[in-house]
Amino acid sequence: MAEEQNPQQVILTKLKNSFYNSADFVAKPISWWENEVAILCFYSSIVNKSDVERIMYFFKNNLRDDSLYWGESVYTTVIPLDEKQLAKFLCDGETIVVRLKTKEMIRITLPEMAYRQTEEPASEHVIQGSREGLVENFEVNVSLIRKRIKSHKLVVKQKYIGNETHTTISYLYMEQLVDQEALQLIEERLDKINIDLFYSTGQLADYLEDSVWSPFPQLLKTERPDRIIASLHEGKIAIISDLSTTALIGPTSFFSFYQTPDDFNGRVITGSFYRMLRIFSFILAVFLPAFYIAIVSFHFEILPLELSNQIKSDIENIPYRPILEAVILEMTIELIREASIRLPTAVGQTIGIVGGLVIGDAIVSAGLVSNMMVIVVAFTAIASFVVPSTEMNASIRFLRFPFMILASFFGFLGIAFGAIILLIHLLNLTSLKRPYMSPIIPFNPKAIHKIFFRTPFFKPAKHPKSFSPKEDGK
Amino acid sequence: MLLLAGCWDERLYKDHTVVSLVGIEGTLGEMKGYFAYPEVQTGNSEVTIIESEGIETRELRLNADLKVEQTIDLSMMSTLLISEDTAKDGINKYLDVFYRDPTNSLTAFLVLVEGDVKDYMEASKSWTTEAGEYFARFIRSKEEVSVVPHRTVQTASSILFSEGIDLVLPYMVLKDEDKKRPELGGVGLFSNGKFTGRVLEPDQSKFLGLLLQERGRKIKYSALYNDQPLSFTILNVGKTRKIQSPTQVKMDYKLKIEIEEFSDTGLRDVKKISEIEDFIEEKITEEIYNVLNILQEEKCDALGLGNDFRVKKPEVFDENWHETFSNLDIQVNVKAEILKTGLIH
Repeated sequence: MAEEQNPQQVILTKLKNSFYNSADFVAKPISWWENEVAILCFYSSIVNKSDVERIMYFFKNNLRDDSLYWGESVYTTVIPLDEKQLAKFLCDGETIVVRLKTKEMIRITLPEMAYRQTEEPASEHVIQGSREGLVENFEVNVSLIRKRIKSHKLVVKQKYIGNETHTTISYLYMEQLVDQEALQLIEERLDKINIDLFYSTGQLADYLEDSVWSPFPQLLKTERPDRIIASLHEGKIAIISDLSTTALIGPTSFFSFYQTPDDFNGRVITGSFYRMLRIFSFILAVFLPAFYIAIVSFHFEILPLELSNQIKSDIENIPYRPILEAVILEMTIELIREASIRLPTAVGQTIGIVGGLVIGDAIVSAGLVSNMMVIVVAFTAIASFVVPSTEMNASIRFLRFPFMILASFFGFLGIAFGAIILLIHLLNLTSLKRPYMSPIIPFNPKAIHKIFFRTPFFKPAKHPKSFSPKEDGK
Repeated sequence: MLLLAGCWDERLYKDHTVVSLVGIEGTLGEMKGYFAYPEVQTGNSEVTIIESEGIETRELRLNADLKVEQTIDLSMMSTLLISEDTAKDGINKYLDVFYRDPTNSLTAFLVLVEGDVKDYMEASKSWTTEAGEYFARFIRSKEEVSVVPHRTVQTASSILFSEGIDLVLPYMVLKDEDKKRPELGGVGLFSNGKFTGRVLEPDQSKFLGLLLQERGRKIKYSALYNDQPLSFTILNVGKTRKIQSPTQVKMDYKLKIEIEEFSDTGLRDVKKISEIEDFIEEKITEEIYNVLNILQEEKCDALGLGNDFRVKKPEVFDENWHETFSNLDIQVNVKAEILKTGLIH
């Protein structure tokens, strides 16, 4: 007996050693059919143990290896023993039974990793419509999408990223509709990724974006499956990972950041109105403070006389220039925003009130900033939060600072120059080598109304496409 | 190019005093200027008036600057008051400073005032609205009913530089005892850039407005028709001018009329309507001839007939145009058409 036990014992120690005697690593000999001895190993923390037990029971009592494909089932598969792969499978949450006699391993794929139930995405609220959001689990995410596109044309491809973390990245697209060039580009860029630690979609975005240094996000981040399927249907590619609720969608155009599923859930006219309102809010959020600064420091003659008295009496006793005034207030608002995000909701509200009301009121009566500036900055802040995408929102809030500085140095001329530079940049920008400002540049008169209007569903007989997929599948 | 407009061009609003009403009086050599601006004292603003003396308008402004702690800025001036004496001296040389500076307001109204400019400036202290804005609103509302023509620094200057047309400006008087409420005295007539001293009464200046025919203006008129009050509004004026000979001009006016008030019944009757039309035509023609006579007496070519002659009969237009104008034979033909008669018949 002792002689027979030796090979198992050797393997067991070797296994345990190669897993550095981790506390949750289990490896033990079990008896398999007849007198055969096998080794069972798994990570106890990531395996659904009761289900595994049931399957093993079934294997032991009902099966023999005399038939073809005897070990194949939904959860199981049999492959020749390979120690390298063994480690990888175990880390993926599989349970492995190593048959010493035949040098085979039986993989039982029943992992049980912790994940949340699907919830309404916190960053993308809608009033009506689907309230499902992606979760941190690949299978659930794909099922949320497959549930909405019941077509075999929906393709899911996988890649592993991170030399240590070994994270599953999957990209989805609709065969025949997808923008092939963009797909190739994504595959190339995914292949090029070589990092040890991969833990967020932000990292992924850095690798996939065309210009990382641009203030504008070039990939749409969303947590909403309905948004993903709408994009897939336009020939775009969605990238989801196992560890974040955010999906990346590309190629994207600037204007898709200003659309929300609410537009399509509501009525045509109201949807169009709010879409235009959001575009207007972009202009307001970027230019309003700069505009105000330019007026009070360069071009006050354009104020109507009735208003000018009010403004004059407001700013007369402010000790410093408008730009400082604006920066103080903008910084206050940014601080309040930053503070309230990190705090629990209940405290967050308190911060909002303390910051907004108390500081806002006191800062004016203390004579640090003028009433007018408070109005302008508050207005701008509200306008910048209208953008449905959190990322774009951050970009816009950042953008107004350079404009404020330009306005304080050069007045309207500065704003004009800034706007020109901004436009040149936007027109140059690409998302997966597709123009960012589409359909304005390249000009597409047929699609341009979609920026401002949400067209009725029955109307577009042609396939909606923001870029040009090869075949539009009708 | 960006450097041309750097921060050294900055004009901080809080360092500037925004003047809304400016008054000038006197003639070259000894002039007086008044600048009204609001001074803010905890919540409510009070009008402060700076008085300055100088030999010409630019100097007035510079001298006034010495009396304020901030820089005087005329970019929001909405009214410029000009005393009669100054206007009689020829208004052009005084206006130059106001339209040469690019930041100055070109849409400021020009107003002639009777008597001391200072009284009008002082009166502004008792109004709730901004000093200059009070006059501006006053003139604007009168423009609506065509009592005064639209004349701002910009339009007045272009008229002043043109030889074929003469300026008319609103003329205000201060009649009440407290000297707080200026009222419209009419329209002052200019000839060759100089104020003639003659003022068209508001009743007459309406018809000057009709002759000048600016878009969107309504002219209201009331008369007695067979001892019945008859009020109407002239909605639209169509005009054609024809120069028939070097000494004769024919002007056709087609008026579209809305009856505002007419207590007699029978407005459905086509015959009655044409009777009223005839009556209106006659009445208006008479008024127009009155106005034209005054214009010719004063050699004030407010209608710009000179420009027409310059184009069509250049031989008539010369340095003595104003003389020629006063001797012109102007024929007016008015055609009235009643379009709306109101609800009650």
